[in-house]
Amino acid sequence: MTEVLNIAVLGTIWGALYSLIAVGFTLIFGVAGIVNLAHGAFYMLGAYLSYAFMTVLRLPVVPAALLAVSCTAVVGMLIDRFGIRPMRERHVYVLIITLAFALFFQELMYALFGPHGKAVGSFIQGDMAIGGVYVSYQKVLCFGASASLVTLLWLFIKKTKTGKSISAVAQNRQAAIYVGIQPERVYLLTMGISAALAAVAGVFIAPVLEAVPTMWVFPLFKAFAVVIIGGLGSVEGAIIAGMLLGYSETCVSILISANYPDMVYLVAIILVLLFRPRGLMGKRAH
Amino acid sequence: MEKLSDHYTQRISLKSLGLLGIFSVAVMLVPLVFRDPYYLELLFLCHYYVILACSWDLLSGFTGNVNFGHAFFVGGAGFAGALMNLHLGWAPWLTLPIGGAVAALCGLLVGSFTLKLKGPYFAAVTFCFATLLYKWIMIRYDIFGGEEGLSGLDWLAETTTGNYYISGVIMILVVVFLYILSKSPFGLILRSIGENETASEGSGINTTFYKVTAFMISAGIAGVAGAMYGHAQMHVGPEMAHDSLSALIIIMVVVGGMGSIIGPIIGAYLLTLVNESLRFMGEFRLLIYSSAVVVVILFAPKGILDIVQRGWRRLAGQER
Repeated sequence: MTEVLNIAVLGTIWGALYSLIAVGFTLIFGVAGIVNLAHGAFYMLGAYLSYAFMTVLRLPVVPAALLAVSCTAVVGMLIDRFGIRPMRERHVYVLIITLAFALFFQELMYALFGPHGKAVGSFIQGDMAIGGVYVSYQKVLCFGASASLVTLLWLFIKKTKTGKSISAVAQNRQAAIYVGIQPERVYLLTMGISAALAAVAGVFIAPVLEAVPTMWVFPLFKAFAVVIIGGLGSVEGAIIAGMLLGYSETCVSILISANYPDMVYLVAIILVLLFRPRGLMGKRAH
Repeated sequence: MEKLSDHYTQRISLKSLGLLGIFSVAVMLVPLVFRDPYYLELLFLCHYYVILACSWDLLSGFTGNVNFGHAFFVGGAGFAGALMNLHLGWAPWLTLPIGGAVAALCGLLVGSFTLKLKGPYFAAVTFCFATLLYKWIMIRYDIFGGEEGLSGLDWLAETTTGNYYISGVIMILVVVFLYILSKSPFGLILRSIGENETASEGSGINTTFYKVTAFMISAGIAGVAGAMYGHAQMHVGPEMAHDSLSALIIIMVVVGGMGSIIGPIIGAYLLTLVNESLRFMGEFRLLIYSSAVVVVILFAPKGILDIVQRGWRRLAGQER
C-alpha cells in the first residue's frame, strides 16, 4: 500500500516537473521547428544563477529566483537572435549550434563554480506527510509551481492575443505573415518563454538535486523523451507524457531497482519511434 | 562562386587526390621527425578521431540525417573486441575486423528500423541506442567492468611508433575509400538525398536502402576504430559509448565542414591538437575550447574547409 502511495506522490511531483521542462522544449519545436539542445542549459542557468544571486549578491530567495529566470530568458533570446536566426532553415545547423552553446555553458559553469555540487538554498524548509509519504516542502512547492505555470502557459496561448499569435505561427507561418504577424518576433518571444520555463524548473529543483556543471544533460534527455512520447510540438502531449514518465520511472525505481529508471525513457523513445513515430498526441510527422 | 556541377561532380579531382597523397606521405614521415612518444600518442588520437569523423560524415554529412549515437558503434565494437581478446584470446588482427563487422551488423539492424525516421527523430533514436549501451555497460559491471572498463588487452603494436603506423595506415585506407565512395554514383545518391529526399524518392531511388547501406558502412568503420583504440590503450572504458564522444565527433565534422570527407579530417586534427595545446591554460582549457567551437560554428557555419576553399579561390583569382 505504501508503495502505491509512494508511486502516486513521487510520480506526480516528478511528472509535473518533467512536464514543465518539456512544454518549453515542445513549444519552441512546434512554433519554430527548432530542436533546442540548449534547453537543458537553460535549466542549469536557472539553478546556477539563483545560487549566484543568493550567495554573491546576497539576495533573498524569491528575488534571486525571479532575477535568475529573467536573465535566462534574455540569454535564450540572445541565442535565438544571434545564433539561430541566421541559419534557421538548416535544421542540422540549429541542432549543432544549440549543442555547442550547451557545452559552452557547461564549461562556463565549470570555470566559474568548479566541478563540485553547489547546495542551493531552498524556498522553505521542512517536510510534510501526504498519506504517510514524507516529502519536503520544496518538492511540494516544485509541483505547485510546475502545475500552475503549465496551466498559465496554456491559458496564455489560448486566451491572449500574443499567445494566439504564437499558435498562429505554429499552425501556418505564411498565413500568419498575411494577417500581420512577424514570425521572427514570435520565435524570439517563444524562445524567451521556453528558456524561462526551463529556468523555473532549475530554480525549484536545484535545492533538491544541487547544481553541478553537467546537470543540463538529464533534463534535456527527459524533455526529449517526453516530447517524443507526447508528440513533437504538442503541449497537451508533453503534459500527458511528462506525467506518464514520472509515474513509470517511480514505479520502476520503487518496484524493480534504482538502477533501471533511466532505462524507461530510452526504451520508451525507441518503442514510440518504431511503432507510433508521431507520438501520443502529435500531428503527422513533418 | 561554387558551381553546382562542382558540388555534384563524380570526377575525382586530381587536386584533391594529390592533396590526399601529400597528406598520406606526411603521415608516414612524421615519426622520422617527431620521435617523442608524447607527440605520436597525440597523433594516434588524431587518427582515431579522423576515422570516426569521416565515417560519421558519410551518412550524416551527406544525407543530413544527424546520427547522435556514433559512440554506440565505437563503444560496442570496442567492448566486443575486448571481450573476444580477453576471453577467447583472439589477436588484434582478428578483433579489429570482427569488431567492425559486429558494428556494421548493428548498423544494419538499427538502420533498417530507424532510417525511415527523419531529422530530430532519427537523432533521438540513435542517441537512445548509444545511451542504452552505456547504461548497460554500467549496470552489468560483471561483464563490462562498469566504470573502470576492461584492462589488460593485447597490444595493438609493441611500441608507440607501431601504434602510430597501424592507425595511420587504417586512417589513410578509410579516408581514401570514403573519398572515392563519395565521388561514386553511391555518393552522388547520398548527396541527392541530402538535398531533397522526396525528389530523390520521386526519381525512383530507394532512399532507405542507400541510407541504411551508408549507415552500415559508417558503423563498420567506427567499429574498427573502436576496436583499434581499445587495443592501443590496452583498455576499454564506458566513456567510449558515452554521448559526449558522439557530440565531439559531430562538432569535429561541423567545424571542419560537413559532407566533404576532407573537412572532417581538418576538424578532427584541429580540435584534437587545439584541445591538447590549450593544456597550459589549466582549468580554463575547456571553456576556451568550447567558446572557440561556438565562434567557429557561428561565423563559419559551413566549416573551415569552406573558408580555406574560398580563400584559395580568391588567391587563385587574383593571380590570374
